[in-house]
Amino acid sequence: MRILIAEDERITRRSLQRQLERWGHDVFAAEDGAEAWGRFQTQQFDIVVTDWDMPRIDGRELIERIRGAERSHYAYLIMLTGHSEAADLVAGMEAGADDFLAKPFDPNELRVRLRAGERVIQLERRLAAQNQTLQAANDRMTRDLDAAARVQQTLLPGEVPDAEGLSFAWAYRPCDELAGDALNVVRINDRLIGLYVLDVSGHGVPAALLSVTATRSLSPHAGLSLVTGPGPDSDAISPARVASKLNALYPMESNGSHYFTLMYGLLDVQTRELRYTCAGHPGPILVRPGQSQRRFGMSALPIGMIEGVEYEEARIALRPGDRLYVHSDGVTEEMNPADEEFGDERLYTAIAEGQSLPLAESMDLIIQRIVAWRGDEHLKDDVSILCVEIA
Amino acid sequence: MPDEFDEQALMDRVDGDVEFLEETVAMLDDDAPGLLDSIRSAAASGDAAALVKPSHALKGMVANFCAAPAGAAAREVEMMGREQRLADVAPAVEVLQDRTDRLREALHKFLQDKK
Repeated sequence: MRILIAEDERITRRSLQRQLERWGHDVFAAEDGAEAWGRFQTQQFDIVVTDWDMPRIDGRELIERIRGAERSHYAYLIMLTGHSEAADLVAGMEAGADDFLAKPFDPNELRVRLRAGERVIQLERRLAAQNQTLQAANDRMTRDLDAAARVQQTLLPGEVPDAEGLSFAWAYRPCDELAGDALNVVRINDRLIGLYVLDVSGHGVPAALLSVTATRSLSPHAGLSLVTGPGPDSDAISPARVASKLNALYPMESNGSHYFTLMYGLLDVQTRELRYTCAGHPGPILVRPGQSQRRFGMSALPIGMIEGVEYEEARIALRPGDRLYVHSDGVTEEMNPADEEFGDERLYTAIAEGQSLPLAESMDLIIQRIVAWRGDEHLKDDVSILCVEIA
Repeated sequence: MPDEFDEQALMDRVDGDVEFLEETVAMLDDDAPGLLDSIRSAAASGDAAALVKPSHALKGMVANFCAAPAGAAAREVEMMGREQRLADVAPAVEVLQDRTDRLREALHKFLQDKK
C-alpha cells in the first residue's frame, strides 16, 4: 500500500517510515501537515498516518482537508495521539479520522491498525468498481431513454392540418424521459380531421411502448390503422367504433396490465361539428364567448380494461369564436405541496385568463399555472392539452 | 539494566537493529538540546504557552527510547505549561534536563557495549 506519514518529530517519523517499509509498503514521510497536504494533492495514498500537533497545518486541518477533497479513492486516516490526549482523539475522529494509534506506537498495534485499514480500502475499491459498472449501465440506459424520447417526440403533431377557419395548438409535458401520454391532430380525408389525446396507465418504458403502439393504430397512414377504412364517412371509421377496435386490440392482460384512456374525435371542416368518444378520459371543455366553460363528460371504461365494451358517441356543434380543449388527467390531478389537486375550477380560471391570448400562448399559460401549483418543474404525471379554435 | 530506559523493550521496538538505534540516538543528540533551550527560555520568561510545544515534542521524542523517567519529566513540564502552574517550573526543568542527559549517556553506553 501507499502510505503517507505526517509527523514533525523526526525520530517518530523515521521509526514509522522504517517500520512500514520493512513490511513492504511504499512510504512518503512528510515533515508536517503542509508538506503532507501538498503531497496528498498530487499523489494517491491508501493510508495516511498523521500526528496531531504539527506546525503550519495541524492534524485536524489535514484530516478535514483530505475528507473535503474530491478524490476517486478513499484514503484511510490513522491519527497518532498521546495517551493523555483523549480530547484530541475525539476531535480527530469527528474530523474524519478512521482510527487512532497511541504514541509511542507499538509495532504490533500498528500492524493490526494497518490490516483494518487495508480491509476498508479493499472494500472501498470493490464498491468503487461496482459503482463504475452501475454508472456505465445508467449512462447507457439514459442514452437509450433519450433516444426513445426523441423518437416519441416525432410522433407529436408536426404540421397541423391546414383548414380554413380552424386553428390548433397543443402542449405536451412528459413527467419522465418517456411519456405514457400521446396526442395528435391528423387529416383523415378532405372533410374530416381526426384528433385525440390518450393516456396510458402507469409511467416509464412499458407505458411509453403502449402509447407509441396505440399512436400507430390511430394514424390514418399506418398499415395497421384503425381510423380509416370503407364506410359512409369517406373512409373514416366512427370514433365509437375506433374505441371498440382499440379495446379489442389492446387488452390489458396482453400489455403488462396497462390500459389507456382516450378522447378521439372527428371534426368536420365544413359543418364544424365534432363527433367524439371518451373512453375513461376527461371530456372536452368548450369555451364559448359570453358563456361559462362547459365540460362534455361521458361515462365509459378505459381502453383494454374489459373486453366487448360498446363505446358511446356524442356530437358538439362548434361555432365561430369557440375554443375546445382536450386534456389528460395529469392537468387536473397535479398536486400542490399540500396534496390538493389542481382541479377543474383552476383549469377553467387558467383557460379564462388566456381567452384573449393567441391559442399557443393560452396553452403556455395553463402549463405555467400547473407548474406554479405543483411548486416545481418536475410534474408527477404527464400533461397533455390539445385545443382547437374556430375562427 | 539501566534505569533511564527499558533496554529489552527498546531492542524489541527496533527489532534488534543497533544501526538504526544509533541513527535515532544521533537525532536525539541533535534535537534534544534545542528543545531544552526553548523550555529553559520559556520557563525563565514565565511564558506558560511557550512551554507546551517543546516539552510535548521532547516527551514524544524520548518515548521512542522507552525512557519512562525522561518521559514523565517532560510530561510534568508540559502539564505545568498547559495548566499555567509555573511556581515550581524551574526545578521541574532541571529534572527534565538531568534525565534527558542521563538518557543520552545511557544510550551511548548501551550502543558501545553492543559493538
